[in-house]
Amino acid sequence: MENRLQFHHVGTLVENMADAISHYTDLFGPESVSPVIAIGSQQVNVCFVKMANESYIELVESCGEESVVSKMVKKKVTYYHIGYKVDNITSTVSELEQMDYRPMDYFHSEAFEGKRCIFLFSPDMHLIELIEK
Amino acid sequence: MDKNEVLIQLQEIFRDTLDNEEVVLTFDTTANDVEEWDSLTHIHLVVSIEKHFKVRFTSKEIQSWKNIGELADGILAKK
Repeated sequence: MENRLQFHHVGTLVENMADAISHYTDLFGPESVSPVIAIGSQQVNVCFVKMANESYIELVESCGEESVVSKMVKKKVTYYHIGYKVDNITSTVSELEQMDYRPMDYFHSEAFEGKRCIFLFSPDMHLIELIEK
Repeated sequence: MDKNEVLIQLQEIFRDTLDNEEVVLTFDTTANDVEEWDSLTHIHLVVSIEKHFKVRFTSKEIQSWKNIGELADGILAKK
């Protein structure tokens, strides 16, 4: 693959962000836990817990019935996607489509300074997120 | 295969994929009418439909359907 996928985070759903932050703060210390960021287009709140340099757990809390993940929360899904940073998101998506990945719609994420992001399903129906550097 | 046969088969695919035996489709059905049909399950449905009907849709086609009738037309156009 020409475009390199740089691992950034594992996304996991949480039912209550305050409870999850409390737990992860106990585990990794307050300096490892980011502020909570609201992602308007996805109707979720997110918070990043630093594991190592540029490697995070992304805590994702649904903000209502219309959010993309609300049904997954009800089904008790926890870990559900891996996020990668990429230099050129458009050409990476094209390359992945050639490998049978199925893209969803682009959105701009408040968690990444408004940069473009996109979710895709792999041929095995694993969900990944690309984040424009 | 006519459009009504496609509709019947689509209903079975939707019931299996969404794990809901109560799904009832008509040509006018949209994602707003089926609780489990969201942007994530949409991709699962497309893959199941492609496997069942042995067709392949482009991203543009996948985003163009406004209801089940248009999806059925899209399937028939490829058969």
